Parts: sequence; structure tokens; C-alpha cells
Amino acid sequence: MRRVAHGVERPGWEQTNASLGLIYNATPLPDGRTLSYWREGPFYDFDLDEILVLEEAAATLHRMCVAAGDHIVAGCPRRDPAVRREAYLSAECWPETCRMSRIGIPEYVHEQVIRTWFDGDKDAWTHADKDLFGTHAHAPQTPDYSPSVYGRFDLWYGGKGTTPKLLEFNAQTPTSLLETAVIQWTWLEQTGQTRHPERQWNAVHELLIEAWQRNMAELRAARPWLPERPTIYFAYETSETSGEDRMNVAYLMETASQAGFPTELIAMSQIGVDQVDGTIRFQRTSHEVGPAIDVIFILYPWEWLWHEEGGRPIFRNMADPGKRGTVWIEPPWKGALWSNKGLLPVLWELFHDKPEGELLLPAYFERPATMTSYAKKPIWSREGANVELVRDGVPLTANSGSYGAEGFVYQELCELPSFPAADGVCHPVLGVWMIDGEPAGMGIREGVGVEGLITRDDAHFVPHTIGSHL
Amino acid sequence: MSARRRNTTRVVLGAAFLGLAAGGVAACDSSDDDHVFYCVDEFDVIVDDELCEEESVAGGAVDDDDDDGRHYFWAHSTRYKRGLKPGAKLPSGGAKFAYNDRTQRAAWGLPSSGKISNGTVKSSVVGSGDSSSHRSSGG
Repeated sequence: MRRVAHGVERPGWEQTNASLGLIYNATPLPDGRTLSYWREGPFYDFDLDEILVLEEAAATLHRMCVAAGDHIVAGCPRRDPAVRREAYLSAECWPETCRMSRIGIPEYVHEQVIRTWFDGDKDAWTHADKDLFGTHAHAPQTPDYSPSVYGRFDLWYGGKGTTPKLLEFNAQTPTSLLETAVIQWTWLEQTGQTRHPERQWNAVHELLIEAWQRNMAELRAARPWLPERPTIYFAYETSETSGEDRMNVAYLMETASQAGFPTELIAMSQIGVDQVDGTIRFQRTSHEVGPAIDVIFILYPWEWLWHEEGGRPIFRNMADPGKRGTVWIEPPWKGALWSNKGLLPVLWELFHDKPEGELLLPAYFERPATMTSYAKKPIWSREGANVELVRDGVPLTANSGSYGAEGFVYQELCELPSFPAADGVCHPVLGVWMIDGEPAGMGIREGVGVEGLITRDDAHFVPHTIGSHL
Repeated sequence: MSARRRNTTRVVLGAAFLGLAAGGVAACDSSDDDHVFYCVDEFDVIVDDELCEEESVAGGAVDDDDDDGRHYFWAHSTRYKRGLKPGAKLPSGGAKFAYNDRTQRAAWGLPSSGKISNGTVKSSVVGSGDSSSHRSSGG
């Protein structure tokens, strides 16, 4: 693993990138200047052996996360069918007894987290579990299916001879997908800075298309009344004005479209709840009853949604005993079990004394007195907000933000590798994409200087090669 | 692991995506352009919809004075929240017209008489969870 500081610079690269969707390249700085998000010229180069190590690490981490999900769900009182059947009005989950409550997930959400986690499993419970009055008893249900398409591990890696370490898992709303799948691939094709047959670790585009096909086939098998090619809605938050969310969602939608499905790009605010029957609908305008949404992808964190007005009706609809509720991608378990920092102490608890534990950094909900070099991370946060790094008891750097109300985790400090560059020392974090549960490619973000040890929203995207001759 | 495909053969993007990249029309926020209507009295306090039900009148705007001597209007704005109940006072900033003003009703694409429904479907119930900072929902 090395950083090639002076690679080929393409004339007109900014326009080329923008024409492929990277319309959010200019990152405004607090002092009024703008920063180029994309690094043109520098790139990282890896040996194939190093890529194989990263690939195997990601596959192993994924299996470990499955075990962690099982562990968290097993500790929720609502895992018990008797509790589910009877505890309608009483609270059963408390921070002391339920990990989901401990990290601030409202109890009304827990059952659908559990249900979507176990879909397709032999131990699955079905929507009929909520059929208190036996209305649907004449038609025993098969398990449902909850599609899950993508996620991104953020890894520390120092190159050959080191072991990758999990920093966090962006399992629900990872971005930089377009940069990884399209922009850096086009950069590679246009600059040709490697002659190695593997060229770049990047099978994201084709694996996404296959992921849509496989997941939608599974969903149709579970819900045969759906049309052969149901419309998949793609929703994003329109108050994000840079275009990053829009183009990441539009790219994902493009892959679903290439997989053969009708698609529709909508705003989060256009998701409506019918007050009459509880169905979830696409509301182009408010004075009509829009079409019911069978399947929707949202680039919007569950941890925001379930505290909003629409949260309860959406989860009520999801629990429909007739299995006719809207299918949400990514499913709620992605946010509740994986896409938060509460996963890190659970993984450490389960694997610290096992061989695969070498892929982890010690992490705890409460900081042990002996831990003096650590990263303090809010359980829920994005883009490095409210993260604080402490080395030998002395603050190293911190990032401001508005997260942390639900608590923090403490992860042993593992400073990102350093590569000198003209504008300061660069610190790369490797984003390994998991598509449909398989390692699929890599995108790299690098921060600059001490502040860059936390990967913030001003960190650059830097392309990579395998076996470059430069 | 060595048999796993490690890179793509070709990335092809469709016209719809490339059109968006070139600045094409994206999703519209429904809260930006949809007016919410309420039947209100002269003090902008929401009253029962029935008080704004027009009886048979011909022509355009007519006397908006109801039997009880009070005046009723359809108040509307994109900024009004949905689902407000009678008794609530609407915030300032909206517009209003006499409940039986057929010209105005036609201009807003509403039925020429009777109640105005805000629909049975409530939108803008999710989203903008962190709109104050316009931050990305991704990470």
C-alpha cells in the first residue's frame, strides 16, 4: 500500500466527473474557500495480496456482525413470542436489559427489527404473530423477506504485514458509492496507470445489479402477489442541497433500473401515510390519493425516522398481519443492529478472545480506567461528527456536531496511517463495500493534518489501483 | 476467494441518470408547492369545515357573512401543518378567500362548492430530520 503523489492529471477532469454525477465536488469551507472533494493526480496503489487480505477481512467481519446481530436480538425481551403476543401496552425493554433500548431505539421499533432480521430464517416469526384475533389463521404464512443491498466497512489498514481493523460499519446509509463505482473506475480507464490484470478492486456496479435481481426475486417468492417487476421508489432528503444524496440515490436507482425494475425518484416528504387504511403512498401532490408503495429505498437514517411523526404509522404498516405492508430498503435492522457504534463493543465482547478478534479494536460502552488512548464516538453520528481522539490522556483532535445524546462508545485509539503530501500529512481510511453480503470493492477517503485523523465531510476521495507501474 | 470477481467489465449509465447529472429535474419536495387549506373565522382560528360549506349561490364572491354574523374563509398556505383541529389558530403568513368565492376556488383547482379536503393521505411526515444544517443523510 503506497500513495502515489504525482499521477496523471486528466485535462477537464472536473467536467468529466460532473458529467458522470459528481456534481458535489466543490466542498465549501468555513472561511469561504472551496475544497476539491476529488483528488486528481494522487492515488493509492496496492499489491493484490493486500487486496486479498482486505477482502477476507471484510468477509470475516460480515460473519462476525451477523453473530453480533443475533446476540443483540436475543437479549431483547420482545424476542419472546409470548411477550410479543401479550405486551401491547406495557414497556418490556429497558436500558439495563435490552441493548436496543440502551442505545436509544424506541421500543415500538424492536419487533420489526427482530422480524426483519429473522426473515427467511428457520427460526423466523411472521407477521401472523401479531394476529391476535386469528383473522388470518386460515392461511398460515410463509416467512417474509426483507431485501438488503449494501453497506460499507470503514477499515484501518497499514499495508503489507499489518492486520486490518474495523473502525465502524456504515450499514444503512453509506455514501461515496458513486465515487467508488463510477468516478474512480472511469478515472482508471482514462488514465491507465496500471497494467495489472486486476487493475482496481471494484466490482460494485455489476454486483449491485445482481443484488437487485436476487433480492427482488426473493421478495417476490415471499410475496407472490407483487407484480413481476414492482416499481422501486428511491427517496432522499431534498434539504441536502449539495447534490450528494441525490446523486448517490440516483446512481443506486440506475443500477435497479439496469436490473430491470421500474423506478421512481422521490423526496422523503412525498412519502405519505393514508389516514384511512394506514397504507404508505407516494404523494406527488396532497389533494390526491397517490399510488401505494410496495418497495422503497430510503437514503435516510432510521434513527431519525423513528423519532418523527411518520415513524409509528410506518412501523404499524410494516407489521401488517396480511404481509401487505411496504417493504423498506435497507430494513430497520440495518440501522438498529449494525449501523451504529453500539455494534463495536458488542463485537469486542463476543470476539476479543477469538482469532478473528484481531480485526477489532477494543471497544466499550464505559471507558476502562486503563484506557488512556481512545476514540470517543457517539453511538449515532455521521461524517465524524462529535468524535474525539485522545492520546495518552491528552486530547489529540475533536470534531464538533450535535450528536451524542444517546451516549458514546470508547474504542482504542488506532491512528490512521500517515502519507506526506504537499498540503500536509494525509490519513486514508479504506471503505470496503459489501454488496448483498459480499466484499465488492473499495473507496478511499483521506483527511489532511491532525484534524484529518477523523474522517470528516471535508476528507478527499482518492482513487486506487492494483499493481501500478508508476 | 481467488475466484471472486474483483472488478467490473464496463460501467454504462442510462440517459435518466446522465440527465440528472447534467442538472435535470429531480424529485420535488411536496411541502414546497402543496397548499394546505383550513376553514377559519376572521381571526384565523380553525372552525368546523361545515361552516365553510357553500349553499346554493350563483356567480363569484358573495356575502361571506354566515347566519351567526361571523365571517368564514378558506385559509391556505404551503407552510401550514396538516391535521390541525378546530380551535387552533393558524400562524401568520398564509392567504385566504371567502369560503364561497368560486373564482378563487377555480383558480386553485378546487371543487366549485362544498368542503375542501386536504386528502386522506398525510405527507411530509418523515424527512428533514436534520434539515437545520442541510447535512447529508449518508455517511
